[in-house]
Amino acid sequence: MPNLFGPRADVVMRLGMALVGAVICAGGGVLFVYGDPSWAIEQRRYVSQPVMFSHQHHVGKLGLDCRYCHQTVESSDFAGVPAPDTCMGCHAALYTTAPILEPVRAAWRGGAPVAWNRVYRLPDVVHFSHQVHVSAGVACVSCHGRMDEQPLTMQAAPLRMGWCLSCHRHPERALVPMEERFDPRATPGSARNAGARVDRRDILTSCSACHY
Amino acid sequence: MGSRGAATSEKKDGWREFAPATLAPMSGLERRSFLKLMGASLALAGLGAGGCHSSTPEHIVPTTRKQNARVPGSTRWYATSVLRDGMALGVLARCDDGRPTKLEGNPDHPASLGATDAITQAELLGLYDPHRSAIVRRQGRASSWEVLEDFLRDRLAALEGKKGAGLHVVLGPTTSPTLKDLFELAATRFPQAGWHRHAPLDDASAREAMRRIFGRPLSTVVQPEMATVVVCLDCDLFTEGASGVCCADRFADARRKALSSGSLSPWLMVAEPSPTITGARADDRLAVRRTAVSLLARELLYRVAPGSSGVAEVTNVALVGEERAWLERAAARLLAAGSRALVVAGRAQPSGVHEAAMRINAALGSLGHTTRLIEPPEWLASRAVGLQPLASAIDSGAADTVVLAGVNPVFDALPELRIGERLRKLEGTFHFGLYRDETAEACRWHAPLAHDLESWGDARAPDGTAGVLQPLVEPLGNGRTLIWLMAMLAGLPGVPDLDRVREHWQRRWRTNLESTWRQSVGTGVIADTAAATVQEDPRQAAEASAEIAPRSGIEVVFDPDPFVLDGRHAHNAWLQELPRPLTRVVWGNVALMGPQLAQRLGVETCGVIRIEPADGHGDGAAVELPALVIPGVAEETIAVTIGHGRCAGSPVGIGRGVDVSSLRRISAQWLVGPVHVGVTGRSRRVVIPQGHETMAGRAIVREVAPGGVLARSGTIHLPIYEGAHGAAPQQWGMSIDLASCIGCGACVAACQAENNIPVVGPDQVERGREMHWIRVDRYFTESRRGAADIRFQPVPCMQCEDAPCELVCPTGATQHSADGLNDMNYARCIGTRYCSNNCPYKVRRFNFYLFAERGDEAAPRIQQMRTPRVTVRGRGVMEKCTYCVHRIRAAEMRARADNSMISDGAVRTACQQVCPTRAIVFGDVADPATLVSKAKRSGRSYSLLEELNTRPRTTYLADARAEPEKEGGGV
Repeated sequence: MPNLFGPRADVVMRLGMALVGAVICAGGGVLFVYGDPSWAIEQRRYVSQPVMFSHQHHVGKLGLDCRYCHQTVESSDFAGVPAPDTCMGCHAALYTTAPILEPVRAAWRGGAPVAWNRVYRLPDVVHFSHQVHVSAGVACVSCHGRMDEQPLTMQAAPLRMGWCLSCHRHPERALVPMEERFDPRATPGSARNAGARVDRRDILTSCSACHY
Repeated sequence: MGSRGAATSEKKDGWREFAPATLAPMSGLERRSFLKLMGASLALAGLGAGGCHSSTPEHIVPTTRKQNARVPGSTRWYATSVLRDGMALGVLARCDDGRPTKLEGNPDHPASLGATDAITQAELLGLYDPHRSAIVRRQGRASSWEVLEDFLRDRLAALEGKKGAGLHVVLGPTTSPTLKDLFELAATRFPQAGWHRHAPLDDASAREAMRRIFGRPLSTVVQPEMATVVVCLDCDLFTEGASGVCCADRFADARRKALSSGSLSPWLMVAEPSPTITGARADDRLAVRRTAVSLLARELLYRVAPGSSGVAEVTNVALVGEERAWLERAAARLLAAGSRALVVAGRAQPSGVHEAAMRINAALGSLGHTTRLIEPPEWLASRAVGLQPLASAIDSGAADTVVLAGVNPVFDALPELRIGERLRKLEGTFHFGLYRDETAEACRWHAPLAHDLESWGDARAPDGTAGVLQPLVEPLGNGRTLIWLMAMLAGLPGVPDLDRVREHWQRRWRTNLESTWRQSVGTGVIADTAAATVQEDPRQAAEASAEIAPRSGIEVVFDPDPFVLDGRHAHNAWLQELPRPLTRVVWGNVALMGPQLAQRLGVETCGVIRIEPADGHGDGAAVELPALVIPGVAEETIAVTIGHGRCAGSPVGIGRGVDVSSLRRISAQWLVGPVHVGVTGRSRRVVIPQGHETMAGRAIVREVAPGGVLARSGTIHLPIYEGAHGAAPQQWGMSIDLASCIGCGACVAACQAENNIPVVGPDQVERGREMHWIRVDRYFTESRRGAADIRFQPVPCMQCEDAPCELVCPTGATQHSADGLNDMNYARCIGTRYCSNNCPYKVRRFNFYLFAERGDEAAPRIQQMRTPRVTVRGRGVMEKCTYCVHRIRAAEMRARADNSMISDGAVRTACQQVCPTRAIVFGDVADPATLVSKAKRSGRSYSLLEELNTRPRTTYLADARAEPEKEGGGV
């Protein structure tokens, strides 16, 4: 009976193992680079919150405007998270005993403020301003997705530099008519915006547009 | 982004430097993807390193109450003042989310005119200094305000029975009107109490001179902009006192206007023993022994007004050649200028010199033109005595309670007074101060004083204009104010300082109380409070004593350190590390001497010399400190600065430099001589960041005759890059006017404050690792009269259009932006330092360590001070001047939101905004109508190292000097 393993079997096996390893690594790498896998960048993961606030309910069903709560979105880098006064404007009369709202009521009574878990987390090396994006005609939905369909909030966009640049290179893809910016059902980049005027387009792809 | 990729296209003329293959971009796999793949393999190797991201969730915590006026992330400005010897310098404080992060000058304030000096910039660090005193202490052990309050109240109540006999209060100079009201009440309560004023940098001789001339100690407001000739007799006009900033501003403004018509006016003449920034700016400078300035002053007075000198005949034999020639020129110019002449004398000069200066002004009719007389804004000087009576009272047992507030006489009073020794003998000693300093250690009680920027108060500018101080934060160190203390002394019930200040002013106004108050707080200036000009004729001069100072032996002259002053700022690391304008020394002091004296003594720079008073009295008074040899020091003169060698307060200042006060005498505070100077043969390091003293024959600081233009070089500009830079409509550029720059260093301090630049300490500076993004180079050039001329040149990043740094960065961390900036992307930098090696201007700075205070226990406090829009850089990262790109971007965003254009002057860099002489102009160079474009079209405009073809966006305007040397005439 001839030998089951030829003289080069070891070499073949080692090469094979190396090949499998290389394929796994390369595959992982390719997936990471071109796939922007959501597990690596936390995209599309719903984040739990101390108060299970539903945008789907408040925005989708009740039709609240984004700016009712995120009041400084047009005037500051930060969109702002509401103080309990804003919640209690309605909830002083509605669901006044709902246990789910207890942290808000506690904060309103002067207790510890509600510490919301951050969903959109940009690296510290980036300077981002809501004000300038909104005033340029970028819709909320361009980055945050359909808030009217999200029960808890998830990170709708990859927040990778390539994704930022894809808009900074072609800003019209994110723009909507000014009056539709806060419409959760707006459709950015539709044909109407093909001719949108974008000032300072050249500077948008300079490093110091965001990094300084 | 595309400039590298586009480099393969050939030029039309067929010229190219490299074969196309070497310039081909990485095909297939883009560089970015390649780097990401590398990153990905690292992430995989780290087994789920990506997952670490979520392990530390970040929280967003809203306020518990809606604050409509407050927008998170927004910037607000508040007007207040910082005090220098009681005088106010108005500032606008930028507050980001409630934290003061930068001080700018207040354009409405007469002492600021929109600019500040380096010391004011560094007050911000002083505010946040984690080493500031924060605990009430009784005999060194922690106590509390309540205990101190009760103890002090009981003690004062007991003293009230004795009408205050035994109570002594020591204060620094103060102009606060509110404090004066309280003082009057306290003085009524304690008629027998001793009130003392301690001012190490006092202008006592000026007051004495004014008393002799006008019968009372009037103050002067100098107006150099009205003069055609300014003669400074040992007076550093641009830094002395709180009026230096506005003097420099007005002087530079007048010079610029005159220069546009081709003349140098006001013509600046300076006679001084050791070089100052005023002397460096002078058109005619004389290095003269401090003792000989009296002779100059008297002779000048005799020449200008023979009748009023009080000296029948001046023994001018005592003047030697160069001095005589300078005197002739000065006298001729003064007589020609008439009422547009200005003569000023410095604090180090005796009252006779001040008297002579004022009598020259009076005789020429310039009183009311170039100098105004006002009632002194400082009220304490006329109501208090000095420290000598306190010393006697302690010795005689008459003093039992001593309250010292805001002063540190144990360190900065003359050692002859032995204040520390005397205070230690007493039981009831109370010290209120920013630091637990030498005086705090000598006192039974120490309590923290609040910083100016965290207190309510009021103060007057040198011209008498009152302004309100408002707190920018709650006291960080649990400190209380002088107003609180004085109210305590006056026996008033506890009322917030705000109410006291407001009530004081509202009592004066009578109508529109609330609106006037709001307006005063809002602008930082109380309207119509400037002191009126006093019309007073000088009295006939008394017979002046004709004593002539001996001109023998080596004399030592003392001056306050340019930044640390009398030691009060020794704990401020920004100021310690700021190169002194003339010597470039950091973190210490030196014995400054000229080359001739050094040669005769046989000592070189860094060689330690031993200075002993020749009169023999004062054992152990000898001082040893390293020499620094520079030109421009008067013959037989050694110049030293006081304020160093602190022994308590904060680790930042303790043991930096040498305390030279043991050489000083009450009779001769600013001058001692003759002295014995011995050479020890040892050497000690002198930390100087600048390695060059001359321009080595190159045209670095260029100069022209007034009205002249620079010869154009024949440099041909061949772009290294292909493809046009600057596609954006706005293109940023800067022009620095060397004819205006006085080399004060304010730009360096402002940049440090604005751009979160760390301090590295003397060891690192010695290794050339200082981090300042803008530096001020100082050069000595040969003057036409054999002495040295001094030139300054601020050097920020040149923002080259063809930047050598960009070509060599392997990671593309430094790139060109579309609006012409040389961007630095910290996140990409891997620290090869190639860019710095390739930078011909040496303006890039590398973080050899984690210099930013991110790791130590001081971090939380210091982080509050950081400009939030500027990244704090970590270890291993290159950094450099960005033209304050965060300010540009903020202006762009504002313009975007308002749908407007960025107007000229809307973006100002930190160095530009702080500059007292407005030497720096910044703006859009693509728009021919902007100030910077106009400056760049001037015949004086030139690029630094133009021959390197880097096409800098930062250009210079050549200095304008009379009878220019040959072009680029380095020594």
